[in-house]
Amino acid sequence: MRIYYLFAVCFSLGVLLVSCKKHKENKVEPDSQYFKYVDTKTLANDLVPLDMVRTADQGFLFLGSSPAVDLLFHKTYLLKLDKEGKFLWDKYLDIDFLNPVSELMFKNDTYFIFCMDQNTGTHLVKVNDANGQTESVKYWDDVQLPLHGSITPEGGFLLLNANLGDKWSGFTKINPDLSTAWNEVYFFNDNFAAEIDRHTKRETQSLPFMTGTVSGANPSYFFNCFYEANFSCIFVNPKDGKTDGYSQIGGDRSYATMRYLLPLNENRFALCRYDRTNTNFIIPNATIPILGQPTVSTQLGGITFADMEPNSRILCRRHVVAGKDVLIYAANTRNKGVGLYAFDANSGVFLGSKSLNLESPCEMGGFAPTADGGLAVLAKTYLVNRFPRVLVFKLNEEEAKKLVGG
Amino acid sequence: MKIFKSKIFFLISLSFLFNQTPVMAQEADLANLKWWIGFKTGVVFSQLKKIESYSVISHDETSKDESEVKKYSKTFSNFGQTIGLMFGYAFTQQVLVTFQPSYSNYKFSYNTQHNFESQTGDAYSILTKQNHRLGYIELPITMLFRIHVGRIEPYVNLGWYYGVFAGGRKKLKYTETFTEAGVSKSEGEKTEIIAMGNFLMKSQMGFTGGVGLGYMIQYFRIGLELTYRQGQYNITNEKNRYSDKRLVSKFFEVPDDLKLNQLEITLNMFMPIDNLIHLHKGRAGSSGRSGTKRAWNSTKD
Repeated sequence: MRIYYLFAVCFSLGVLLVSCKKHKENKVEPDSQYFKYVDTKTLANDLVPLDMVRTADQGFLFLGSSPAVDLLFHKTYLLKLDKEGKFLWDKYLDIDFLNPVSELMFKNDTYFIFCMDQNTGTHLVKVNDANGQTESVKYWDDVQLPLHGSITPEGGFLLLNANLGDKWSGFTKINPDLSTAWNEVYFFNDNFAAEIDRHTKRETQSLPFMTGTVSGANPSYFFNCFYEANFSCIFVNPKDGKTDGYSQIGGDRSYATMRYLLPLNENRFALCRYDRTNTNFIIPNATIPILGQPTVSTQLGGITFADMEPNSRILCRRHVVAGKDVLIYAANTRNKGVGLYAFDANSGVFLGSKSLNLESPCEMGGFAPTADGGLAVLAKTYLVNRFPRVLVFKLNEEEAKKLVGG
Repeated sequence: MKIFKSKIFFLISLSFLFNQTPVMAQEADLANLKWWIGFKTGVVFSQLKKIESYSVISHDETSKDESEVKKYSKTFSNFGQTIGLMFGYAFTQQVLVTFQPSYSNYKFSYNTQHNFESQTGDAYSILTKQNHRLGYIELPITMLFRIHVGRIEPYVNLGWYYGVFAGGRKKLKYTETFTEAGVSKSEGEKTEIIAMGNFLMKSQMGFTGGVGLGYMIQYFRIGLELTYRQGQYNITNEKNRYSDKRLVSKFFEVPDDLKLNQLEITLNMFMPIDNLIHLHKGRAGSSGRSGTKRAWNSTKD
């Protein structure tokens, strides 16, 4: 009989081992890979997705704007999701906080956005992502029409704005204590005021206003806006905002100019430009002089992708994915999805791409890497081709690895 | 109708087996024979155990809807069929090891409903009834412990099974209702068939246990067996849960994590291979009955 018992014990152990292996192979954590429609029926039909970030609790904060019946400008929309894409809170901000500029800024465990009141004065709004509380921490009535904002390495802010009456673009450096360090103005030609006006009322395709910081031996701030006869990227002295001796990337009015700039190191940039056909050109490893002679955007070359929608909004972020230092560009695609395009951040070599699309059309909101090595992409979609909703695509680590070439 | 036919088939099989004439019976002890072969057929009821529920929709406070929770059909309405072969080896009179490769057809269903509204008051509702049919080739190995009371052989069995997914489909019947400009309009019920191969693991395994009653008839042992199979792990392929864009974006449907348990009622017929040898010898001689006795004696030797 002993041989039977031995056989039974060995057989049971074998079964147990095989079972455990099978179970482990199939296991996928609920926050690892998913699609999620966020069903918020209060969402306005013409939501414009602007930005998204991953928050400290591994959830996601989404920023958008929607037109309102009685207002000239868009209302500000914020949505918070947990790491599994489940709804936590959303809100439309009060009508004193309109036209958010497309960047969620993070400082001291808090998110900030620039927006404006109905008199076009600028608010800096603090967002508590844990409970959805928002408050204005500073208001500048003399800084009109905020167009873009970003945070500086030392915790200050850069704010791009415009004065349509006097026809100038304004670039303001705000200290960490929210006092104004300097405020410079850059005049532009008459006819550009109408373009900025249409942009702020979201009557036409958005213009790619931008601000940012270049670190290194020749530190600089830059803004992408109307200056003199063109829409150009202007580098300025970080001490006073003056352009003396600094370079620029010249555009062809607003018909052909820079769509996105991400400073990498010294004078290296990851760029995207568009030409008069609205085709986007990706330049993942461009060397641009900060000082001296200007560069002409149309002479920068670049890579085009056949599936990328012309005139698409572009985002570029630098992240470490699967141990690789990569640049990921996101854009809307011709099949009404979201396209991701990965490049090596050091060499600019193309690594791979991925298109995310469903039966309903999507519009890219933003993307962020997740703690599990994956990638989250938020987009606007229309449920049943009718009802506007926010959609989350969560790619797992394996898919993120594939995107960056394994 | 199909369920009715299967039940009739089951009852006819049952009556056939129990109407074997007792004239065929004899006193011999079949339990001493070593090698067995046979077949079985019967009905199987699927019992779905939800490990975790999944949805592609995350609602805010105002749009939460309890009707969206999947309602799985009850065990005794999940009526499927099974058919298979049986091989056995008797270690002792009481202990028999069996291997019973079989094909089983599991069925279950659930209903879902999703409702959406817009800010302007337009609405959309989709009601689905999703019938699933999953085929598995199952390879159970069991230890059968039996006692002999005359011709009757009550037994219990315990073991483990390995199932290979052999194909399946989801039949999705759905009704959409649009409410636009204050008017509700439905286009009637539509049907779509979706292959399930991508959503399920290629294999499953688990433990099996049951009770049965055998009855000896000359060269055969017929039995009625009630078996419960406990699925050991999730049958859903978690990596492919969101792989069907149409299922996700049109029906808002993704499979839950499920364990598939089964309650199986089968009729079986087992025949000692040793008897085949004896039958051959019996035909060569003058009498089957005396030949049988010689064969049993030789087996005992």
